Amino acid sequence: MASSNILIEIRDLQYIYPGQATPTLKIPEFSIVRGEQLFLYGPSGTGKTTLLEMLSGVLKPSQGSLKILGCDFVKMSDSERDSFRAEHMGYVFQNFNLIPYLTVQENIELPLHLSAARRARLGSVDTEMVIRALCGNLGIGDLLGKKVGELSVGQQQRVAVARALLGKPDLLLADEPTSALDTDHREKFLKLMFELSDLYGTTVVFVSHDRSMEKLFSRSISLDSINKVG
Amino acid sequence: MVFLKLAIKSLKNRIFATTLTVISIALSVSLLLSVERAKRAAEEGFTQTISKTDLIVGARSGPLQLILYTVFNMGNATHNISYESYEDIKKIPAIEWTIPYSLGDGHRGFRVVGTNQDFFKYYHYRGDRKVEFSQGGEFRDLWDVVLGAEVARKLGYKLGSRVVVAHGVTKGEGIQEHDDKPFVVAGILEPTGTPLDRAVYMSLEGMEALHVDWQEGAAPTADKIIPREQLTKDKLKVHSITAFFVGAKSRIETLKLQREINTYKEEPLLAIIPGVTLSELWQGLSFVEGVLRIISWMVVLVGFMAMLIALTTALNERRREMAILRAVGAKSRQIVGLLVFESTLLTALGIALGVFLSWGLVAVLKPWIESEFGLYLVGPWFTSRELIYLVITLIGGTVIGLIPALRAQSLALKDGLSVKL
Amino acid sequence: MFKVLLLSTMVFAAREHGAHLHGAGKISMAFDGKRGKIELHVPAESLYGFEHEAKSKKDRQKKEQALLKLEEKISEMIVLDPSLKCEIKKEIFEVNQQKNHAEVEAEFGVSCEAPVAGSEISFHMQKVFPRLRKVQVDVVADGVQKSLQVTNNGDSLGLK
Repeated sequence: MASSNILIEIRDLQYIYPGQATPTLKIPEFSIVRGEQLFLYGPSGTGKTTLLEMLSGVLKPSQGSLKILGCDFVKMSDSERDSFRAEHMGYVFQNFNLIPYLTVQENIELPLHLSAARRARLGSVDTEMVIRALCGNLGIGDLLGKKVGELSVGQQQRVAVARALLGKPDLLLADEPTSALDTDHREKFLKLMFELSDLYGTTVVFVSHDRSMEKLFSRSISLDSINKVG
Repeated sequence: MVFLKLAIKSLKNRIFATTLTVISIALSVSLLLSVERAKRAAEEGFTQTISKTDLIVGARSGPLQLILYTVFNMGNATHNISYESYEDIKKIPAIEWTIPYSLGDGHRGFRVVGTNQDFFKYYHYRGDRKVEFSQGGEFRDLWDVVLGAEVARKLGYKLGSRVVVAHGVTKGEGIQEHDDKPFVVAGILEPTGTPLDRAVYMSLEGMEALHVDWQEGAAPTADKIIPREQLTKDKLKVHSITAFFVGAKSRIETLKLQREINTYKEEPLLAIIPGVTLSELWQGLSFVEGVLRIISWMVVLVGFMAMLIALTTALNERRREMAILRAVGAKSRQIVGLLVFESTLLTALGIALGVFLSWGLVAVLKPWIESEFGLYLVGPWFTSRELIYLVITLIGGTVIGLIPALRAQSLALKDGLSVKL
Repeated sequence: MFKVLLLSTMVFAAREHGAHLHGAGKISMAFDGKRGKIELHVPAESLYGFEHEAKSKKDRQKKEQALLKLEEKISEMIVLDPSLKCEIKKEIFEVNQQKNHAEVEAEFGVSCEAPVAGSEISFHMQKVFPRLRKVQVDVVADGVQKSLQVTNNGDSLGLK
């Protein structure tokens, strides 16, 4: 297939929030290629989060088609999309990524417990070792046994990346994960993230309203250019 | 089992609220169980105050009155029955044994009962328990008395103590005392947890001796007092008794016997089957039981409300947590499951603690309750009814847990992953 | 506490020890092991609808039918545990006729294959005689003495 290199394929996608007359999002055509690092720029309130939530499968598109790895999200049930997310995706929030009463390691392991498929992606190797290696790469190897509250914001974001990348998912969705970091740390953080996503072959979709990091990505696009609302 | 771990860690994280919730459920459960157990013990203690007696016979009055003044030492008979009638009825072939009972005098607030040795032989309570002695033995001499356990304990009597019997049961000033005719303690009974503990027992003749020189209900003047030494058992004639207990040869004959005594021509008598009257009485008491039960269910409901409040309050703080779980792939019904599981766990912990609490309470308070109220907390640890209550409580807790869980689900769906807190 | 409870019941228990009350009957049962006896005292009105002397042919018929029904259906009215395999047999039927009142007195013999004490008895009076609304049941079975006010079909009494 010619499109075998395409990870996400969007056609005539619309999302209308319940009770609203006009769609928040209307994308005639858009696709994301496997392995790319996409920077999606848009000021607040332009539907970035809506798009991310649709890509993650938490929101179901109102119209059109959204295919990830050839599976059409529009035709899948809520719980099928949940399972798909657990198996194929990692998600990093702007902040508060971690469940406060679990340790760092327990937080990282969470997706493995929710999805057998995700666990299978680890291969037959020892989970503990994989997590150690991954966290070693991210520079948080010595934090595994700690409580979330003892971590700095930067450390927390790296833990979130570790969790998102565990089991080599196909897609990493990131919602301004660097906005709580200072410029110095932002760059370091992104470089680390790219290093690992390259290694794992994970596609990165990163949304932000701050263009300062744009140049580090393989492709940058403004949401305005694809969203044809109005 | 990631959800078990999540639930436990999450509850641990909110340990203070969790503990309070568990305690409030535990308290309500233990109250519910205690009421049930007390009811069981009360019924047991109540209907088992007397056993193996087929009939109680007294002068015609109400069955309730009869059972109260004979078995429970409460109230008085309006009339006595003549000793001739007693002797006459005793001869009916269907009767196996009788115990005569003569009431009237008191000793420092305790009832004095005149009876004979058959009392020790045939009186049973709580199934096949008989009256037993902790010290001494039956009354043999005219001036011997046997004390119920509580009488001896409260008044500090020992074997050989002298006892002066007063006229009438009440204590206080102005009561005529038979101080010219003191009695001697010949025996002390083992505690029974029944009204038997609160009476003084003597022979019918002894009872008669108290009044032998009295005239028209007044104490004798000094010159008319018959000295104690001159009275012996065979010189005294028993004129009347208050009631008597009957053991029939067979149960089937009991019904006929009862009718025969109730229609006795010489004197108006009343024969009752004690267990029947007691169980009728108990049915009358069941409204108290109902009220208590309603109150304890109310308390359980309050416990649930406390849990509902605790869970709902925590919910807002946990919206972020729900979003994280959703982001890592949890289905929304798994989130409902997690929250319901938490409330079920809380309820289960509360129930377990409540059960142990009520057992502990029983173990600690048992001796006191037995001696003070005559309630015997016996029987199985659990009755099927109690088990049903616990299951209802557990289901109730789970259902209550559904309320915040469904709210959480709708919040999680609405919030998606973008909780702004 | 006990005393208060007891005294408070005197008020409640003082009710219905009256003699002849329409719709209200009394059953006494006694068992020695497997053998027993049932005595039934019921106002005639509750069984066949009137209490004057049955003079007319129609009245006599009514009365006879009712008594026959009582004889035939007694084991449906008083249901002993089926595992005991009890048989209830009529012994004496008597109608105690006074001027305006009549009382049916019936005695039945019971024989079972196992002791009745410890089992449960259920009552279905209204199923057979709908006018019999309230029956005071006293049971003596070996060491057990119990009583029950039967007002509904299916009321039962455990002999434990």
